[in-house]
Amino acid sequence: MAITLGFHIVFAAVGMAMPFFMAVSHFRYLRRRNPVDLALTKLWSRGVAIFFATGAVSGTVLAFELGLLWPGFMKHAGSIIGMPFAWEGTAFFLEAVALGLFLYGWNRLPEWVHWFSGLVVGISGVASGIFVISANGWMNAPTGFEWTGSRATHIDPVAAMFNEAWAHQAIHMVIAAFEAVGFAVAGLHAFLLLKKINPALNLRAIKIALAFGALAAIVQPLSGDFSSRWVVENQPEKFAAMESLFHTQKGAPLHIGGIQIPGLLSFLAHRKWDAEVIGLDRFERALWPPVSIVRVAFQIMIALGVVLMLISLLYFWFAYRSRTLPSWFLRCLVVLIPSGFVAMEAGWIVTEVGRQPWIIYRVLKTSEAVTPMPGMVIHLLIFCVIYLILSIAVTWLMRRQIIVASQADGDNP
Amino acid sequence: MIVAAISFMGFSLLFYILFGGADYGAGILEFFKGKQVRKEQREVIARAIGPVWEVNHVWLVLIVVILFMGFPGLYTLITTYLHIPVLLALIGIILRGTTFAFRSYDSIRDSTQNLYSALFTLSSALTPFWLGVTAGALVAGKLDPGATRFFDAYVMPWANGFCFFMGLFTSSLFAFLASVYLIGETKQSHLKQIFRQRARGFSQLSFVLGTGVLLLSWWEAPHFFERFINSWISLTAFGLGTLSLYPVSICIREEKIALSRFFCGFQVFQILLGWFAAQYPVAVFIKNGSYPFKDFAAPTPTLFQLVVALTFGSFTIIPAIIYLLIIFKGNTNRA
Repeated sequence: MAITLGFHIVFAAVGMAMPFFMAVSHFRYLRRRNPVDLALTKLWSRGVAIFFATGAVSGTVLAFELGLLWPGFMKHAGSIIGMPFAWEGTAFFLEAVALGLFLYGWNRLPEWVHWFSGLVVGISGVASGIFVISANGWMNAPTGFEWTGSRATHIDPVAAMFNEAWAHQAIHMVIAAFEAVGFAVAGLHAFLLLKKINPALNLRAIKIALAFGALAAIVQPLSGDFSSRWVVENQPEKFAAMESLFHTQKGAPLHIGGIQIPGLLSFLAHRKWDAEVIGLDRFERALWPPVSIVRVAFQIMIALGVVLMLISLLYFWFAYRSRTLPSWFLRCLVVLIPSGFVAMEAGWIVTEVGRQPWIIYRVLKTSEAVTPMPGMVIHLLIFCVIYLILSIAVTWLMRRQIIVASQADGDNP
Repeated sequence: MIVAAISFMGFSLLFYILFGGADYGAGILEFFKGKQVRKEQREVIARAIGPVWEVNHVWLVLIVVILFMGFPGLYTLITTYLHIPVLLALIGIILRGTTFAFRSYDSIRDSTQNLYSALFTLSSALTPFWLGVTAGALVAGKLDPGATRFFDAYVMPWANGFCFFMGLFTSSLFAFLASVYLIGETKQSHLKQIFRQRARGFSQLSFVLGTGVLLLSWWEAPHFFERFINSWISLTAFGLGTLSLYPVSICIREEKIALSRFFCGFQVFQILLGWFAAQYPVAVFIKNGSYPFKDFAAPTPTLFQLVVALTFGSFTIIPAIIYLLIIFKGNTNRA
């Protein structure tokens, strides 16, 4: 499950952000008729198509896997939190239709309708992402039902969908998608630019991708702060694990690397330098999340987030000063290709592992939800192998597309 | 509300079989080809299903969503006890979707195309088989929620002749749908001829297998067979479905494309109707008994929200799909 999700999240993020990049370059083409923009749009649309197809498949698999692995969870959760899935299905449907129109619509649709269909792909991609996050938000902040100890009564699916955790998680995730995809795309084109392949196209690509990615990276810390304050209030043990705060204390310090900044953690959590931050000692040992995993994942996310933010500020400075980017900056972008996705996966680990041992926070334990069928190891192995092969195949395919497309367009600009 | 939710599920299933089924079938047909026409045929198929295949498969997602939101108990029952066939179908879905996408969108045409095609064909045949087996297991009445041994609980429900016949029937039906559909998707007469032959072959095979399923149910799932022959709707549907084989074959010969597609759709509708009429209100037959839909149904507020979402969805999606079909299918003969 975690593997499918971890895999799916990458594809979903691409499906959310990439169509917008595509729509921007398409828009530029329709406005100025520069063939570079057209070539870029077509190049990106291939990427979107491959990622969408794979994402659609892993999404279908997820829909089944929820039940294959967690029948105990779905039995209770299905009727409570199925609603965002129903809406997600709708959005997904629209996305598929729009994508079909966009990919095969060249010269068949009126130009602006065609452009709009590309935009709809992005909008419905973001919408379906937001809906799915609602379900995850509900696992962190279960509402809309009363728990009798073995089953749920007084089910209110609307309240469940609009759970408290939804807003902050959705905002954080959508920004993360733009940040990760923006930097990955920019990095790939930076690589091609360094090789002096089709500079006009690749420079344009970097500018469009970073316009989104860099902006997202600069805004992201604010959304992260918003999220962590929610976690402090509502899941103190998760927060304590993130900061590996074992003892409840006033004026808690923040550890960055080896340095301690007194009171900063209290400030971040409660906006007061001497506020009390709850530590893990307030909770039974059996209810602690795996502290070291959560802690490390959290730090990776923060570290990468800070790096990306700094690079983004630098980028805007360069963009403001001159039209070209120095080659060391391009090399940085190449190195940072995976960083956004790594941060995203790390963040996912923080929220999921940080909630353990609960699958529905303070309602149902993960161990109570798992399938009774023996031999699950085989199931997991099969999926590991499939996803490994798929990841390799997609990476390899993308490489082929990028190289071929760039070269072909480089020959006749 | 239960009825509304079930109807949405039924229609999604119908559309999934009609569109997604034709799509699987197209993959199966690729298998039956001499070397020289294989490439041409592949191109017809890619052109015919390229723009719509993603949409076709969203129907399945919709079915699953309705199941787990509206009937979570049924959903967990299926995913728990029919874990194995569902898993096998899933693997097929993964392989098929990715290989088709890779094949279409890879801008380099080299020998990897053959690998994509081989996997695509294989998974096109196996996925509907396992989906059919899963559907069969809901009828077969061998599900045993009280079973303690692995074999009894997770293998017995679907490992029987009835379910396997259901699987074969599903694959064959899909291939039939695809052949009829593809006749209208090409202008080359030798390809048309091939699809026409396939359509004839698979319609006969489907008829034999379909009747076989029914006869086997007499023996393996008597509870179902009894309900079937006692339901006039089921019997009429069976009769009409069989009778419509005749207009289908005429339309194929006379090349009445739209009409032949219509009769195929009608046939599938009759098959589903015959099945549902015999099954309803039972959702799943288990060992020595059955569970009706209402035992699995989510509470009314949930069902209400589900129906609202689906209705809203229909209003946005159906026009969009129609637009898609008009754009790509309206002018096939001109393109």
